[in-house]
Amino acid sequence: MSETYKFYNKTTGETADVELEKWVWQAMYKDGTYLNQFDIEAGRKVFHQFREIDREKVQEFALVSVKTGQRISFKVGPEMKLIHFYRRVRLYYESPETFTLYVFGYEIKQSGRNQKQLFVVWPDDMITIEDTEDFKVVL
Amino acid sequence: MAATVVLNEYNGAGETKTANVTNVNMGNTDAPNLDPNAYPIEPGNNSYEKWNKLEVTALGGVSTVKNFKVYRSGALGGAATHLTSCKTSAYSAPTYAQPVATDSTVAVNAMPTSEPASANLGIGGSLTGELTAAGETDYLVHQIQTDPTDTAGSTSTLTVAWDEIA
Repeated sequence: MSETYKFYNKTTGETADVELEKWVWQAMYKDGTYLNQFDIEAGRKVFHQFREIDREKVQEFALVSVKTGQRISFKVGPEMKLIHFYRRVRLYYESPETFTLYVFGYEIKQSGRNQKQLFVVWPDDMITIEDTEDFKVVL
Repeated sequence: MAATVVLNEYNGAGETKTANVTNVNMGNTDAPNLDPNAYPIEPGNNSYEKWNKLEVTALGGVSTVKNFKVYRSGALGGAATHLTSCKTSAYSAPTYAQPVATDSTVAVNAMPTSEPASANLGIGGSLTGELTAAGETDYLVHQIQTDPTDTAGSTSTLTVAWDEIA
């Protein structure tokens, strides 16, 4: 049975159940506090969206394996634009099967050019580093 | 899954919608979830066009769904071709027309056999379109066209990829 967290959408006023993902992000702030994507707050399971991160205060951004605790992180500079998304890949063969790739990293302007550094966690937990969001997915 | 994404199929003159189809088997009838053994494509003929859409029925905790890519892996029998409306440039959204088994005038591009470098299925007529609420992509139209010397019974996998920002 999957573990679900509650997401309260401030725009619509609706609440949604969000299944716990295999890899989750954590934003550490300069004042020592942090924001977890999937969190326990006042005894309640709460889901936070990526856009809830206070970009002015974030000092370190991490992706953590729920199963193993493995952690990938980087220090966040003021010039960095954080990136995080899921790439879902669904194969329609005998019955549909969906895979998830966890992508997180940053974009930074260097020597007048926008450059990206993206960590990609594949379905088998292999980790690669990409410089574009249009990397090839081969399952 | 954070967002719930399903594949729908549309059939007939009345654009009858079948939600959340489990396969995209191609054959000589205009029907969803068809049995290809019961409705085989005779060598030299075309399949009926498939008119599909991807639909986000619930966002869950996701704020944006975008960047839909459609492609096929696996060889077709003989010289058969798999054609689609999907493309990565000069894109426009197809307007529904009853599926036909004559040469499609909508599915005219080769279906990619590996992941395209960028989106090839749009939202609201744009390849950079986004879904920020429940809604559908544009139509994904595709058809198999065969040659009289082709071999019957090939199987291949249709792959759909998309990005979710949570």
